[in-house]
Amino acid sequence: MQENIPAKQLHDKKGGPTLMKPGRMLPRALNKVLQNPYVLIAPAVILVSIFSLYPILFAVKVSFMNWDVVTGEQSFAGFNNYRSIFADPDSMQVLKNTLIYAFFTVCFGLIFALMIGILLQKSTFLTNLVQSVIFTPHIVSFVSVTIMWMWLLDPQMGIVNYVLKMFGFEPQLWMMSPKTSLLSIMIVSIWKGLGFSAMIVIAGLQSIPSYIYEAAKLDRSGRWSTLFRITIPLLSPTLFFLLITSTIGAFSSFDVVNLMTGGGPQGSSNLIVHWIYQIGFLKFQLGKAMAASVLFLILIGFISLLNFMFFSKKVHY
Amino acid sequence: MKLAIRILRSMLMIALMLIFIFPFFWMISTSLKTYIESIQFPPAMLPKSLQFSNYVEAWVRVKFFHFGLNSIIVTVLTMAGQLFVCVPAAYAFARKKFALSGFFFALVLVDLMLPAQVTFVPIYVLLSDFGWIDTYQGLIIPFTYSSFAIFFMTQAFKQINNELLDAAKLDKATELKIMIRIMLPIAKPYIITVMLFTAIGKWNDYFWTLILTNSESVRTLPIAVKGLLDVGDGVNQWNISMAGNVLLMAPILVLYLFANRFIKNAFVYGGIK
Repeated sequence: MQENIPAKQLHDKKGGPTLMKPGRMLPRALNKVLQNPYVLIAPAVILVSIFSLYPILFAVKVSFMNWDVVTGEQSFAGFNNYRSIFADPDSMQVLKNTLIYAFFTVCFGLIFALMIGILLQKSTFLTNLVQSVIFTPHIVSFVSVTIMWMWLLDPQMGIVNYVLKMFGFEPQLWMMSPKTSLLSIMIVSIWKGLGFSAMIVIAGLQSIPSYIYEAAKLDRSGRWSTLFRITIPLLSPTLFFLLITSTIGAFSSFDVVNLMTGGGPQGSSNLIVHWIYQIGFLKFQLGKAMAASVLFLILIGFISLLNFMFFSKKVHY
Repeated sequence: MKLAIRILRSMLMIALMLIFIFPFFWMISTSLKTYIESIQFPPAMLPKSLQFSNYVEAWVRVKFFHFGLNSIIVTVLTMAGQLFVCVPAAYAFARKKFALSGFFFALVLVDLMLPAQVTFVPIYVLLSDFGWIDTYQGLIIPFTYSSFAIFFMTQAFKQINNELLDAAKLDKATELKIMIRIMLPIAKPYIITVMLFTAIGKWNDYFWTLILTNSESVRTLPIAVKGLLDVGDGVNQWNISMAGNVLLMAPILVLYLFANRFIKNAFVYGGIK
């Protein structure tokens, strides 16, 4: 065996001159450092601590403080910030708006996604084309999407009102009216997100093994009973995943509100995150904004908890 | 009966296409009309003559060069930063056994669930303490960390089989060599997927740019293009706004045309976030 060891290695073992060359010291040191997993994860852990964990603790701390942005004065406030949120008449309207917005965007988003997913399930040239088309709004910025839709929905010159009038319907004020502002942002949100949800549904449908459908066919299961007894139950993990993610997404909506309505008119389309933004960045009430953030975090945590509880008892087949 | 269903299917698909293509079509059509043409009744589907000058005007009004350059700087540097921050971390989580691995990975997963909108107020205060408001580093450094990138690439690195690595170790390949010569090439499609996801997200980002900037100096395109709507004396020049909007989304659409499958996959996996 001894003869098989290459000459170079023997040389190294004796601690020959190759080790002392400065050109080789650096790579070796680097190698040592890179072998340490803590070095590899350090940048990520440092960043997530500073920009994700610390801000949460900081928000909790400031939520119990009076913080005057102008003078920089800080004092302990107890639960005053939290009390002022519940006493604020806006907060109930914002919560109501958010619940309505989340309920309708999530429900219609899911129902449409399921219908489109089933429609586009088979992979052909046409279905792939339709998939790509309906997916486009998802990868385009909210700024672009809202500019397009504000033009379509323009009360005076928009083509949607023109078409409504053509068919004998009453033209609407859309974003400009307290009655339809929330509806307008819901339409745009659903339109933007639908392609994405449909793709998730399609991925879910394609993962259902085909032998189950063949068995159903042998048992003479009809179109509808196959849909409701086989497809939808087997798709339930996908649908529940979509339900959770789109609920969290709906509760976190900001862009569409800020860009289309600014929360107005008269707060009729204001949602939680935009309201927090207004408190913190337009009214400069930092303590109250942080308290609202903490309450929002608890809400999101609650939804995520449901998520974990569900994924632990996922459907297996 | 079968035929009726097939016809119904095709009609549904065409209707669906119309609902999703029309807003884009209408944007492009309007962007090539004169102002008078854009507001006339009944609206004309296509412009009489193509007004490419709208694009020139939008370009000038938006200061497209300035904001576009900012967009490119912020997008490219964020992507590069993610390569240095997230790829090594994902590699360690997938390939190394260490005591706190589970704890730190749980941290990544918790952050993955957390929408950014929860912490934007404290992050603003933190970055203004750093003096990072209205700076490139404020728009870049916090975003070089991405839970999704780490989570996704960890899965990718886990799929690489051990024999290849053992062989490399027998050959006394250094850690850096293993990462660059073996890991990166195999994980390349996953890295491209993550990078596309990051690039599109950053190019489109409106929320964080709005929160973390006050002036034009480092702002990016989306806010600038949105500004086209506000100028003037209450009259929106929709043809100019639409031209600006086309310019804003053009890079994304071109990318989508060429990397269609990649981008769809990126976002379907990215949906975990």
